[in-house]
Amino acid sequence: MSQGMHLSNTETVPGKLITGSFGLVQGSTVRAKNVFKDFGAGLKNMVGGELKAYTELLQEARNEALQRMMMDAQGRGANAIVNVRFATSAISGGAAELFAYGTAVTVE
Amino acid sequence: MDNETLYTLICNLFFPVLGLLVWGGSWLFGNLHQNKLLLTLDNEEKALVGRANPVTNLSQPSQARQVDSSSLIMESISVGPSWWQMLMGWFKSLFGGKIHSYDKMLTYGRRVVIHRLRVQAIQSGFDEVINLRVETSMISKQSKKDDKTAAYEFTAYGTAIRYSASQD
Repeated sequence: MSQGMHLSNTETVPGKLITGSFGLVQGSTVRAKNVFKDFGAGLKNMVGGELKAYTELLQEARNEALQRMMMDAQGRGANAIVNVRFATSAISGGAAELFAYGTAVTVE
Repeated sequence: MDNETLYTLICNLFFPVLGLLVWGGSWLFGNLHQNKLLLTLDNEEKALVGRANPVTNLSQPSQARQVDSSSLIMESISVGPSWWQMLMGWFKSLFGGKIHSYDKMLTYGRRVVIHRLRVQAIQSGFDEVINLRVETSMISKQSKKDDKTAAYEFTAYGTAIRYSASQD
């Protein structure tokens, strides 16, 4: 997932010492459901359970948000991001925004 | 004349019968499908009972040992209630009070996402997962009145830790 970039959602990178801080970094992406997947999911909703089409769509989108966040951090010369948080919000009309943010730091 | 009465009869019965089939089917197959999912999850969770791989929401590693490596891991799933459960939920919301029908799938989603996170950690050779966060979001708003889709997304993420083999 990450190429040489340490990610963690704790305050520090466990087992490593933080040597510098570069402030908040973030990445976001907006994805809309497509009509066909939506139709399929609507039918799957008849029995309930996992909606695989949405699961995949959102995982893909979350990875993209994460990638953008890491690009931001790399651009600042950081090699780790700590305290990573995710947020998802539904925008009207069946689109979802996925947002990842964290603090870019350097670890030795 | 005879044909005409038959025609009106069919026309009058078509929608009630269709509705009955759809809701009845949703109730029957929804229950079967969801019970199967819950049973599978139960068995998978039981298979992991003895494994020393705690998932906690502590912010520090639980053991005072040298940490070899760590990584952010995450899992997510979207689940939806069945049409029948949505109907019951709507019906119950007229009077207020507990809505049992949504419980089943929401509980399932949260359990399965934590379980999968644990499996992912075990498979990647991590010793424990700390600082677990679980987030819930509704991804499908009922924008149109006839939109029968409702989905909830659960995301679990945490920091997976591998301790170094040597004790020091």
